Amino acid sequence: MEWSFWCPVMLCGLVAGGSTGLVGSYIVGMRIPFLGVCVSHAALAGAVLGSLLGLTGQMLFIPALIFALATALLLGLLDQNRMEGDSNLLVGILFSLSMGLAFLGLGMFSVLGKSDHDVRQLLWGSLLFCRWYELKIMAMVTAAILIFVVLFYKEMQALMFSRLHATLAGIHVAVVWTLFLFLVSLALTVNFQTVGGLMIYSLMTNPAIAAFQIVRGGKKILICSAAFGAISGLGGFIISGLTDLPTGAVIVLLSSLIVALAAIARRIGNR
Amino acid sequence: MEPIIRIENLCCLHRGKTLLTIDRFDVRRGEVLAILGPNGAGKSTLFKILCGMRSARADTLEILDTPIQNLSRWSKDRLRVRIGYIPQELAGKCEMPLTVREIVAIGQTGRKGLFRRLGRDDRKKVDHWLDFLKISHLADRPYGELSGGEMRRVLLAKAMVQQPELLLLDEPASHMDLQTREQLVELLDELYRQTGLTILLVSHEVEIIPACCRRIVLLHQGSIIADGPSQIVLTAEHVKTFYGNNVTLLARHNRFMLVPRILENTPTGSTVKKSL
Repeated sequence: MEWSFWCPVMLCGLVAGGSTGLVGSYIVGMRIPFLGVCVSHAALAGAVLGSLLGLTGQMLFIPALIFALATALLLGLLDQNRMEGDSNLLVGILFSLSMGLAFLGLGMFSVLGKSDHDVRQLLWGSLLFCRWYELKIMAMVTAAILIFVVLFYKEMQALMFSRLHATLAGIHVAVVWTLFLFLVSLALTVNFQTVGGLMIYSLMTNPAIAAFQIVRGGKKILICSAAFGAISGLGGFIISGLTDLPTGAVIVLLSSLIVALAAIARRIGNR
Repeated sequence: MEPIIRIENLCCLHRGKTLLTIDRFDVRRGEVLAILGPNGAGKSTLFKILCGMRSARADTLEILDTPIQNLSRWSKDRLRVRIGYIPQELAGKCEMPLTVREIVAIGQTGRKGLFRRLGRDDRKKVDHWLDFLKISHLADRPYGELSGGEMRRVLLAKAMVQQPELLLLDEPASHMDLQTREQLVELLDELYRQTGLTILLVSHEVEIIPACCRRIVLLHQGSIIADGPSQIVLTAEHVKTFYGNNVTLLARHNRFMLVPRILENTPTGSTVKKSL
């Protein structure tokens, strides 16, 4: 055991899983998983294009965050009353657009004769990104999310139920909602290097889906979802570290397993 | 009594189509009125305008003494606290794990404002309205497991916890069976007796109109075609315009019911008195 390697890796797994699980419970409660998908893929596209422009390491964070934020705000601030048709249509367009951009960027590497090895790691996730520096950023984002959840607990609970009903209760939905979108983008962007741009989304929704299966009440949902996320993140990172399998894939499988177990537990409990 | 809603020369357009035109519409504090009209008459549009979720041009458009046309987003939020609006859709996402108590407490969230926690008094108010609407036994159940009628009462409790000065009910009896509907109508009567709240309800059914309702407004193709006490408004002619040739309106103790016209001429129908 090399603690200099394992210590940050395990902490990263815990923090990444916990923070995305926490945010994810709202995403799942509001039935907007597409927001997570779109934002994470936009972040990926941003990072790939940034890398193409010669940015490396932590600097990739900047274009990724810009893309993620732009997508989140575009999706989230659409006036539901004013928009005709289904917002899912727009999600479809944005999703394929960001995927297209990401893969176009990947293709450009070979066209330009550059190595795309580093960028491919962004797709599948890599533990190489779990160092103390990354951990510090992840911890700061997680702290911001925690503060947000505590400060806006009652407002977010209303939003989780229904944005319309929150508006009707006189809640300043625009303020809380914009802040939330900002945090979602932030959480997805800081975590996707380690988990992988293609998979981070499931780390956001799976723990919450599992929590929704087995517990009731707002507080329990948040705690349970964060805990499941932390377990998926920690477990996934450890397995990936031991076996050299891609982190993203391991985490997805592990968190899906938790969803399956939760669903089974619910069936048994109902009997 | 002071007016709680004042509308003059209102016109609401959507993509070049006129949704609603109102020359004059006033509601006084403490009135209960039903707005009747077929689907697409502009009933829900009117409610959305009243709570600032849809804009309209008007000479006067005042709710609770506040002109709402050029109100900022923030002020609109503050105004909505004073309006209890229960939309037609139930927000009934199945699997919604929040409990009934948590959902009713949403009503207090806006009134309380940002950065302030709900205290013991707030919980007491939630309990009071759960009790009043006879849903205390559901308090810890997840919302997603309730029936449509129960959900409607939870949303009513949420609106009442808001301590509104004006209650807007949009098709409160849609998808309800007869018994559930009658329970709701009784609750509305009881609510009015105890609080004297101003209540507006829109519906396409006459059966939902509670006995405490003394004024009926008929909305047809985006304009008001009649407004006044039920005896004057619900004429045979209007009933025909709204519901066709084949039905008759029965009225008793300020409650109404539509029955097929066949009943008038058959022996079994002879016991049914024609009241209008």
